[in-house]
Amino acid sequence: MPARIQQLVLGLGANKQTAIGTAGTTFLRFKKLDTTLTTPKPIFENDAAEIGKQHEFITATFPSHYDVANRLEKYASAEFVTWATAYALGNATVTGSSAPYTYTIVPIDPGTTIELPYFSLVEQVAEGGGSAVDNLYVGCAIEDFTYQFNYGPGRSSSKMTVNWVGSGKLTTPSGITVPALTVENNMLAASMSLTVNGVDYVATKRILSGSIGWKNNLLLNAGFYPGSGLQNGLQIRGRMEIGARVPTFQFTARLLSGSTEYTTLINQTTGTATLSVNHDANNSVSFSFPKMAFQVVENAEADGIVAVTVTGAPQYDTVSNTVLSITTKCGINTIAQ
Amino acid sequence: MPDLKQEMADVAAAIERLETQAAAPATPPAPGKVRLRHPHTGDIKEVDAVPEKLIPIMGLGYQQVKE
Repeated sequence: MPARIQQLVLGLGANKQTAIGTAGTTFLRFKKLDTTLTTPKPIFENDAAEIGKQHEFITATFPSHYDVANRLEKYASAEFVTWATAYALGNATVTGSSAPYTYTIVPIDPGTTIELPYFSLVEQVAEGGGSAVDNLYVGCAIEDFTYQFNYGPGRSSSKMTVNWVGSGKLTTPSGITVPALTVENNMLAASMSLTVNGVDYVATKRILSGSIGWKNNLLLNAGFYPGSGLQNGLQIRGRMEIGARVPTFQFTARLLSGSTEYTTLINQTTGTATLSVNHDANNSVSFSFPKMAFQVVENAEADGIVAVTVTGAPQYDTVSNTVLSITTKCGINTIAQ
Repeated sequence: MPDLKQEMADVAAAIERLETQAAAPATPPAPGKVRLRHPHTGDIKEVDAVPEKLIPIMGLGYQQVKE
């Protein structure tokens, strides 16, 4: 009997793992939008290119490594954005003795560590009284996230996409009892406040769409170091270190006669950029770039209205000692702890 | 040889002291404060539990101490 994709039970590690190879034991169950299932992909090499066989065809294959990666596309809830940003940036402090808890999240300091916190991820698909899929991926890290907002009604006005990578370590069957679905508090773009370089883009009703992103450029090949470990004869990663990280910020706003974006670009003026969205007073997210210049300003059009698209150039700020900080509120206090 | 024995005894005593300290209940931070520790230097700072105070310290690599 075949299984439907709606059967998917997705559990994301709440507490961080104690080591890359040690599975997490606490999970948060989330819904998602994309229909992808993760594949524990074993990679095999062959000898097609080797000479001395008298022909160009394969005569033997050799186990190489496991390649595990997937994406999570979701409506932006306070809970999921907290989870994604805490694991993507890596240094999260949670305060509060009862809900709502406040998370303060900044990028890890590479002078301290170049490894992000690792999480476990479980996927289960029930089928015919058993499981078509029941995999626990151990030692996963976030490669990138993108928070996107758009004009228009509904939850699609505010979305979060995450790409994650696994160490390759896998447990099947998972042996995990995933808890009930997390009650998520979605944050619509209609709740947004956005101030960039002193301009309040919401009060002037100019803002149309935009995105905030973070990419860790994980050093994936370096994870397969001598002694990193094997599973079924295939190599698995023993570490996943950050590469050159890249924060991004882009937005499109209606263009008015007094618009200052081009002047800000020409003068390379810097200022703060803060984007906040919320569900209510207890569930919210605020992204803050302490020092933002503009890199590209292009005239554009949206629904026949003249607009301007700005690509920001976030700079490291020596007062707050970061390039980006994220503050969230939600009812969960175990994320990345 | 006696020196080596004394050295080993000193090391054992130091380990015991460390284990005793680790097992002792930590004093919780003052109300409204969070304790942050630098993982390399071991330096501990008690900071107001508000993002604007936490961010500059966390940006230097300090991490929350779990009480």
